[in-house]
Amino acid sequence: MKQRYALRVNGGTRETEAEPHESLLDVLRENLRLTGSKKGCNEAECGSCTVLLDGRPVVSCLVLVPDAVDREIVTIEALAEDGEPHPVQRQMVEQGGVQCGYCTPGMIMSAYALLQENPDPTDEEIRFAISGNICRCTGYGKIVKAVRAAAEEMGNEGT
Amino acid sequence: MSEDASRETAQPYHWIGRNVTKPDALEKALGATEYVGDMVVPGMLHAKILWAGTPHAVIRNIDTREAARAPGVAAVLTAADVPGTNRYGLAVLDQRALADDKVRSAGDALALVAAEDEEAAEEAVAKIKVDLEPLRPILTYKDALDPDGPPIHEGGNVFQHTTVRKGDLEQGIAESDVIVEDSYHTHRMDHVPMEPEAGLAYVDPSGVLNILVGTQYPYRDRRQIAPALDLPMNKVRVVQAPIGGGFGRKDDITAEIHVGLLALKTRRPVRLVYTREESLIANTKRHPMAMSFRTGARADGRLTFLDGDIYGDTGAGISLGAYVIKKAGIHATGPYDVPNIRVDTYTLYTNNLVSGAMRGFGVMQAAVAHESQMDQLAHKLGMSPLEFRIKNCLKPGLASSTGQLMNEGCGIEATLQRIKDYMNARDLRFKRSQAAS
Amino acid sequence: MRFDYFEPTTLDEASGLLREGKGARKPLAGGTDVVIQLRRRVIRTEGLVNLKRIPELGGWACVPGKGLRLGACTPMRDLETSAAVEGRFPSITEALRVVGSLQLRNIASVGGNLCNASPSADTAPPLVALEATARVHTPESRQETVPVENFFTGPGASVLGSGGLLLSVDVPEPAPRTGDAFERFTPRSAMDIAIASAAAAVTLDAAGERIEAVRIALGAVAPTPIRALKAEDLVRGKEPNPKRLEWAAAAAMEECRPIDDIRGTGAYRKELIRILVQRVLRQAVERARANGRTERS
Repeated sequence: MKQRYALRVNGGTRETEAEPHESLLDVLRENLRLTGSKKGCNEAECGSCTVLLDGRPVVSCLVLVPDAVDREIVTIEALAEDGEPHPVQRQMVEQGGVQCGYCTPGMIMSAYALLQENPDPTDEEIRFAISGNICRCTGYGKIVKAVRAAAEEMGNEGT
Repeated sequence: MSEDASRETAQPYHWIGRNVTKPDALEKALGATEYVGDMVVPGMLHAKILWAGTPHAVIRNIDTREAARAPGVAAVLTAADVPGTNRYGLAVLDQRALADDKVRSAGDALALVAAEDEEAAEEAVAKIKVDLEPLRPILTYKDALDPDGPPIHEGGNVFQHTTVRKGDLEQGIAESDVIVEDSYHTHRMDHVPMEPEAGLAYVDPSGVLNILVGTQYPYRDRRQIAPALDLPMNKVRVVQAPIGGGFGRKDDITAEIHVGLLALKTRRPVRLVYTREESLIANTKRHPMAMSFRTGARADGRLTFLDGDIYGDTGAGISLGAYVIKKAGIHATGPYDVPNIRVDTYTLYTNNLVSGAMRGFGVMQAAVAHESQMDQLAHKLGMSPLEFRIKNCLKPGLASSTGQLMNEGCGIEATLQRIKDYMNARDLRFKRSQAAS
Repeated sequence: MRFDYFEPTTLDEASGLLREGKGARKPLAGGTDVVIQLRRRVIRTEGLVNLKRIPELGGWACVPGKGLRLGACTPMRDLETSAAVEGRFPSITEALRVVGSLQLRNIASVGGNLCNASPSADTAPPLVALEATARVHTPESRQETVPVENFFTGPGASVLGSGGLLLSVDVPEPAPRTGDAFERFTPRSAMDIAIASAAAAVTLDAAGERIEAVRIALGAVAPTPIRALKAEDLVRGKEPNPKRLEWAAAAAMEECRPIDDIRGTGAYRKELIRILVQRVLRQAVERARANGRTERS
C-alpha cells in the first residue's frame, strides 16, 4: 500500500507517495524527477545510482524509501551552485573524464564524498573511493586525473 | 574568441594533439542529460517483454487473454499482431521482432506488454501462457557442423565459409624447422554499456512514428523498422538520443521495433527500459570462436606458414557475424609476414544468443590464437618473443595475408623497437611465467 | 514484489512480528542481500521487518582490553574506517574493505553478512579465526551465545532458522603476541565475490619463536565457512618456517570441499587455498611478532 513520505532532498523537503519496498533511486527518478542518478544495474554492482545519505555515498538502488526518511539526501543535481559547476564536475569535463556520461553522475558523487572527508587524496585513495563505480568508456585514468585536479582546485580556493 | 585565436585555430592541423572538450560533457557532469530511460512523456505507457528463456522450440501457442485483462494493461502483443514483415537484421533479415514459428534463442522476444506502470506490465507478462515444444538445441560448434542437426533457419547451420590462400602451404611446411599446433577458444562477451537498452516511441499528429533510442545508426534502424512494421520509410523518424555506451551492440536493432509496434497499436507514447539482466540475456554479444592453428618457422626464426581453421558462433542471427568471422580469418596472421597461408573460416548458426559487432570486430579473437603461436614458436626456438616478432612483423613494402601492400604507415617495427629500447635501458627481461606463492 | 513492511522499535516487537509471519516474513538489516534476492525472485516474502530502528542492534565499541562488540545492524563501513579495529583486528578490516563497494558498505551490515550465510561471506573467516561469538535471540525469545564458527548450518542457512535474530557479535581481546590476517582471491580487485578466502589468527610463544595457538578459517570452499583443523595441528607448537606453512597449506587444501561453479572449479579453489593459507599464516605471524615487540617496548 502506498504511503506518504517526506524526504529531505538537496536542502529542501519533498513529499511523495510510494510503496515502502520501492527504492530511493526509483523515487528520486520517477516521483521527484531527479534523473541525474542512473539505473545501470539496480543491484549495487555499477554505482551509477550513487547519492549521499547523511554525507555518505550509498547505492540508492538498494536503499528502501523508508530508510531514507529523516536523513539528508544529496543528489548530483545539487552539486552546482548558482549555475557554477562544482570543481569535480568542471574537472571531469576539462580532463576528458566524461565520455558516454552514464556513469558520470555516480562517479562524481563518489569523488565528491571522498573530497569532503579527504581534501588531498593520493591516486590510490581516489581509485579506492571510485572502485564501486564502473565506467566502460574511459579506462578510469582521466577520471582519476580529474579528481586530483579538482582536489588541487579546491585546495587553492581554500588558501 | 579573439581574432588572433580564431586565426590560429583555423590553421591546418591546429587541433592535432590538443584536448577538445566534448560539447555535451558539462551537461552530463551536471546530471542534466536525459537518456531515454530518463524521459517522460504525458500519457506514456511502460513496456515489458516476455523472453523465450529456452534456446530452441516450436511455438505451439501463446495465450495472452489473462494478461490482457490484468489491471492497467493497454496491450499484449505477439507476432500475430505485427503488421509488417516482422523481420530485421543488419546483413540478413533472419531475426524476428517477435518470435513466430520457432524460438531460436533464449533471448528471443515472445510477447510485449504495455501498461500504465512498469510493475503492472511485469505482472501481466507473468500471466502470459506459453506452450512450447522443445527442439534439440544447437549449442556448440560440433552441433552446428553436424549434418543431422536440426537447421535453425532454412539453408542449414553453416552460413558462410571463407578462405584465405597465399603462397604454397606444402612448401612452407617443408621449409619449417619447428612447427607449433594448438587450438584456442574465446568466450562470448557482453559489451555491458552502462546504459541498458531503452526506447521511447509515439505517433505524432501527422501520423509519423517517432522513435527515440540510444542507437549507433538511426538511418539503418529506420530501414529495418519500416518494413518490419509495414510503414513507408517517410512515416518513421528515428531520433538518436544520448547513448550511454554502445561499443558495437547498439549498431543493431534493440528496443526500436518493440516500442514502435506498441505505440502504433495503443496510439499512446510507450517507453521500454531494459533491466541489466535483460540486457545480458538479449541483443548481440562478442562472437565466441574456436581456432585450430598450426604455424611454422625456420631455425633462423623466419615464419614459414600458417594453417588454420576458425569456427565462429554467431548465435541465432547473423547480425554482422559473417563479416566479423571473415575478418578474423583475414587477420589470422596478425601483423606478421607469413609467406604461405591457408585459413578457412566458418560462420555458424547456433541457438545461442546472437553475436554481432563489438570493438575489434573479430580481430582480437584471432590475436589470441596468433599471438599464442608466436610465443610458442619463440619459446621452441629459444628466441626472445620480442626479437621473434621484430624479425617477422610487417614492414613497408611487404604485403598482408590478402595482398595489401604496407606503406610508410606500417609502424609495428618501430613500436616493437621502442619496447626493446625501453627494456634494454632498464635491463628488463622476458620471463616465462612461473607459479608464485 | 509487493509485501508488508514493518518498523519495530523493540526486540520483542520484532520477534513477535516474525513469529506472526510463521516464516513468511523476513528480517531486514542493510537489505543489500535481501532486496536483491526479492527483486530477482530468488526468495519471496509476505513482509519485511526492518530491524534498524531497534537500539540494541545498533552501536559498536572497540575498547582496549575488551575486544570488539558490535550490534548486528552496524554498517560495515563504520568498522572499516575505524583505526581501533584496524589496529587490533586487521583481518576484519581487510575483509570489510573488499565487500561489494564502498557505497554498499555504507548500507550493508556485518550481521547481515553473517545471516545471509553465503559460503563466500567475507567477514566470516576472520570472525571464525578470531573466536568471535554471536549473541542470538531465539524464536522463543531466549538469548543464547553461539560461536560464529557454529553459526552457519549450510548455504544460506544459520542457527537462526526463520524466526531467530542475530543481536550482536563479540570478538574477544586477542592474547598478547597475536596477529591475524585475511586474504581472498577474486579476478577483479573490487566489486567481486570470493572464489576462495582464508583467515588466520596466530599467537606466538613468549620467545616469539613458536606458534602457541592458531586458528585458520576458510571461505567459499565448503557449504559453510570452515576451520582448517588439520592445518592448525601441523603448525601448533612449531616454528613457523616456510616449509611448515607449506605443509599446513597442503593440509588445508585437503580439508576443504569446494564445488565447481561459475566462479571456479573445485580443483582451482583448492589450489587457491594452498596459496592463500600460506599467505595469511605468514602475515599473521609477522603481525604477531610486531605486536610482541610493541608489547615489550
